[in-house]
Amino acid sequence: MDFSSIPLLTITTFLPIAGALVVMALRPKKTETAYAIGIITTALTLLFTILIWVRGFGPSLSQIEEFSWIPSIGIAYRLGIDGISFPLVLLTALLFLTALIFSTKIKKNANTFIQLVLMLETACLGVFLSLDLFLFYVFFEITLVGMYFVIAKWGHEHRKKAALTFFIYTLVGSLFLLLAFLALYLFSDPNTFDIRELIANPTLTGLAATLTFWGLFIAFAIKTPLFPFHTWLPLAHTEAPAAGSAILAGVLLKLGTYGFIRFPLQMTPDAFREFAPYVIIIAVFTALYGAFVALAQTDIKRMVAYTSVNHMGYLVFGVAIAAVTSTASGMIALDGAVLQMISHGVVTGVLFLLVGALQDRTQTRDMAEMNGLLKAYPILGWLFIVAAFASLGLPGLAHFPAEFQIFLGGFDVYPVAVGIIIIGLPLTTALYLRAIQKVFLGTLPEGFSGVSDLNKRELWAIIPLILATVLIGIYPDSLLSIIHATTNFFGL
Amino acid sequence: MIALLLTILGPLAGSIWITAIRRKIAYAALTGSLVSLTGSVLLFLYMIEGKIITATFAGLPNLPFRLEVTELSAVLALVVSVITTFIFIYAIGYMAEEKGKLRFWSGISLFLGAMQLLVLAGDWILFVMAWEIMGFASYLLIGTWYWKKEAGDASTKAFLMNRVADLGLYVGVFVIILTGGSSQIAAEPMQGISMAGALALLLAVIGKSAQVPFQSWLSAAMAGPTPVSALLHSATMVAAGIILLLKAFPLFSPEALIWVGSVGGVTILLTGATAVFSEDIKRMLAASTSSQLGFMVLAVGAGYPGAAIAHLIAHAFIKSSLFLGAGIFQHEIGSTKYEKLSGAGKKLKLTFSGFALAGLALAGIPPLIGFWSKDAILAAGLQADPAAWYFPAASIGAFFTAIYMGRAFGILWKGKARPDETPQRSLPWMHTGLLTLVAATAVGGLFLDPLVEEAGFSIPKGTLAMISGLIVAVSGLPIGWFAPAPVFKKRIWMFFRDNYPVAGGYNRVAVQPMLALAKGFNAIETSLLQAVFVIGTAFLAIARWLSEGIDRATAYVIDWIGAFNLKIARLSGFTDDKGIVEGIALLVDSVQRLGYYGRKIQSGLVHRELAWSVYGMVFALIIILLTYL
Repeated sequence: MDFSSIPLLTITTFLPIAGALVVMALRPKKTETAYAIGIITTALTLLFTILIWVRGFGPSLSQIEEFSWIPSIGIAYRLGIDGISFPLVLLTALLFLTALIFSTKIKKNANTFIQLVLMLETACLGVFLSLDLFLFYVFFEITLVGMYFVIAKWGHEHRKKAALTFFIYTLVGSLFLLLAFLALYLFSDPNTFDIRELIANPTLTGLAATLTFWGLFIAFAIKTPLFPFHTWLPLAHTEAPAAGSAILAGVLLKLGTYGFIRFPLQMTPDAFREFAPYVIIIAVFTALYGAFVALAQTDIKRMVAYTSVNHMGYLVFGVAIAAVTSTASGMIALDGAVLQMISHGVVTGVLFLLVGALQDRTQTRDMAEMNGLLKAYPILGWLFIVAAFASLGLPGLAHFPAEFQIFLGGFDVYPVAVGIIIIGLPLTTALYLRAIQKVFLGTLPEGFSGVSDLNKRELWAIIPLILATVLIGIYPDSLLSIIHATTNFFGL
Repeated sequence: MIALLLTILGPLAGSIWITAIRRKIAYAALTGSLVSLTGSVLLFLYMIEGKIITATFAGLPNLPFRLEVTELSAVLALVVSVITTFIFIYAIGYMAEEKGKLRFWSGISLFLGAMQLLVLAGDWILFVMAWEIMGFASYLLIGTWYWKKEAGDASTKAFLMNRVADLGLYVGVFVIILTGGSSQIAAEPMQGISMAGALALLLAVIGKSAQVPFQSWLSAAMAGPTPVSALLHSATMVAAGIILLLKAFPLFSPEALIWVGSVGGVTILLTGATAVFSEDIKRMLAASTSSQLGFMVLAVGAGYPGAAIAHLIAHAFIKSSLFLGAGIFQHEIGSTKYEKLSGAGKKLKLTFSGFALAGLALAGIPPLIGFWSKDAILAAGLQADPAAWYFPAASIGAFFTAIYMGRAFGILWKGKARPDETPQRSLPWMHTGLLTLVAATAVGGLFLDPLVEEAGFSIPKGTLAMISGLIVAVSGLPIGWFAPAPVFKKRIWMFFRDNYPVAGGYNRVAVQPMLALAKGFNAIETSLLQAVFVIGTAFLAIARWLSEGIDRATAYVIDWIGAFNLKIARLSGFTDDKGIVEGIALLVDSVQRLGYYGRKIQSGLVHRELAWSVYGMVFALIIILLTYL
């Protein structure tokens, strides 16, 4: 079948919002119906994502769908995909599906919730697929709005404060992004918002390049987040509902890291190379800082949130290595960094879902109040142990191939920096082992009576992510072959 | 190729079966290990025929995963699967009455699969993977009885300490890959690695093989079931460190080997002394493991990997036998403390003879297997070029070995046998496993030399080594036998016994500073968060003040315009033109109402503003859609 003429990317992007419109139009009385619509929509989106894969794409940006929009200033609707964005699109489709399955217990304003989540999915897919600065910016902002409401309406006790912090923080980031985008536009010749053009001819030099680079850096450093711009993260992650945290950590953080690769690395490569040592210092510090602070947490959800800071530190370190060197090592590090986005998305996604399931049962997130739960919830406990070991970088699970490549590539250029940053590995090991020991090992309190182990709904959400974790771990080439083709094409 | 996969995947399939199907778990695990045994026998036969088997899989870009059957790996795979199979047989009896069977069997099968993967790995990345997965499996196994506090503590400590040392493996492998441009494990590499790389690898060995100063996790790991200890201490886990040394040996420079040998020598002496002063049979065996592994490390450092292989094989059979024996004592007596075990040998004569035979082998009594391998180490120490102290260290270590084994025999035999209790019905399984392994230690000496030859190495020999080995063994055993078995109360002995708790031990040196640092960072984080909120609140206040100011100003202006209009109206009132007056009044009213609505929109509630921006975005989206569809 020839589906080269079907605009698969557009369909994939807007399918979720179409589902949202269906929910809006039907206003189903039963929440089950609404969730059925939502789940079918996200499942279809995943299916279309796979069709994109089946259709195949080259190492460069391909499957382009382009229509003129505001021709007078060169804004157009442009979508396209390559080996960097495709894995992220796949991750987005998978995580939203599982998050929605997990959320079916939310009965309060279910219709609105589903619509918001679906809108958020469209926005996220749009960010990864956009090849136009303006379009990118529009989608980037919509994600912000969607997430704000998810936290503010369906979150835990301090949700209002968390949502507001998240909103204001990222709004400030968007401001820098807007300025940087304008600079990219104004300094391009001829003026264009076309991302492909901007990548092909990075024209910025001198002070303009420096300022643009730092503008982009701050914007994405807030989103990623890097120290010291990370302070919105713990609150937002902790207060969001479980599925919201999974999406926030799994997909929304990747908007920042994807941005790092797509914009500073490709559009202001010289400035990035010049300032890479600073970025590396920040990344190394972020990784260790995140690990240490996570180690000190008593709230298990907050602890998982801080491990994201640690993992994002590794990731940005990998990108910075790629910026610094054009040898094979840079490519290895970048391969690792891209894979790290997927691994972190899957693993942290499942960790947040598991912690959510745990909180539903124990009504607390305080690790000091839990003990010996492995006996009460063996399935939940074992899945948590697997996910935790994945997160601490156990080989055979998703994070190892990514982190190994980041460190291997980095070791060639900055062995000392790698020597410091890998201290993060035993630190994350310590914090997860400590959490497992406190929560799951030991003896169950006398007279403990809790609800039963994971139910079908939760298993349907969690098992696919665990399987993905194992698959990436033992067969990393499934994704790395795609990623490597593109990083190879970058020819850094 | 199929044999290769059978060897590795057999136990893994068993593990998956146990986790997923949950039926016939012990037999599923045994089947897995038998499949692995079959595979490794086939590999061994192929290797003798001279067939070269390699398999390459997709791994990381340009760094494929690779399995390779070398002479060495075929021999080691065989040893691993033989020993494991008999430990499994023993464990069927041991675990029959215990809790946590499911975890135990799935974990131990995973463990075996990982070990075989490690042995057969043909590239360094796969090696790292196997290395760490085995560590994970050991975490699960040590924590089999997770509800006991010491089990949780021990498994956490074991994995964490290993993980710290594993950083060395990571760095070492980075150095290897970046130096050679390939991740393949080469028998004859083009160039060696730097000193830093070699020391990094040595750190990994120290961690995994429980060398000084990372020896303490091994004795803590006793919290797991006995078969687990038997496995960890013999052909797997600690052996992985030696296998790393063997695989990396061609990469090491002579200068680096001095460091290797020194670590081995120090460990032999310190942990040997710990074993002498132990008051618990399992702790004695654990310290002895570190010490015996030290012999192997020393042999590699001396430049005689053949001697290390010989002792690796011999020790694997001996130590697994000793642990299985100790496990039966523990099962029957209910303790591993020497004071409780006193005289237990008289009651369990069969077990005692098995234990004693293995112990004599460890002490180096001919013609048992340990005699030949210890001999090889001593010869290696004698012939080693750079460091003259290898031989004395090894001899003293051998002397210690004879003492602590003699002491154990004495304690087990001399005391009064306790009144008989009903023996466990699962004893036959346990005895089968134990006695087979003991038989191997008895006659294995005959096969040791050819086996090492098959592995592609040779065993160093020497008359002086043989004589001195015999002397220390024969003199050490009676010293141990007649030595009193008091509880060591003196500080200095306790220091030996407790594995040298320097400056408060692992907890003080590593854990507490780390937690303190974490607390410090968390304090920074908390103040950072507070600062952000203060700034945020300040900005909000300013914004509110500004918006209120603007509101007030607008209201003022509107009022003023209203008043002005009224004035005009009043003025125009003189004109008596009612139409104009009414019109203007209407205008005033509408302006005021506009101001009211305007104020309502600018409500200051972020919610509503967000809603507006959503509408804006949706509007933009609609435009996007309309433009193309």
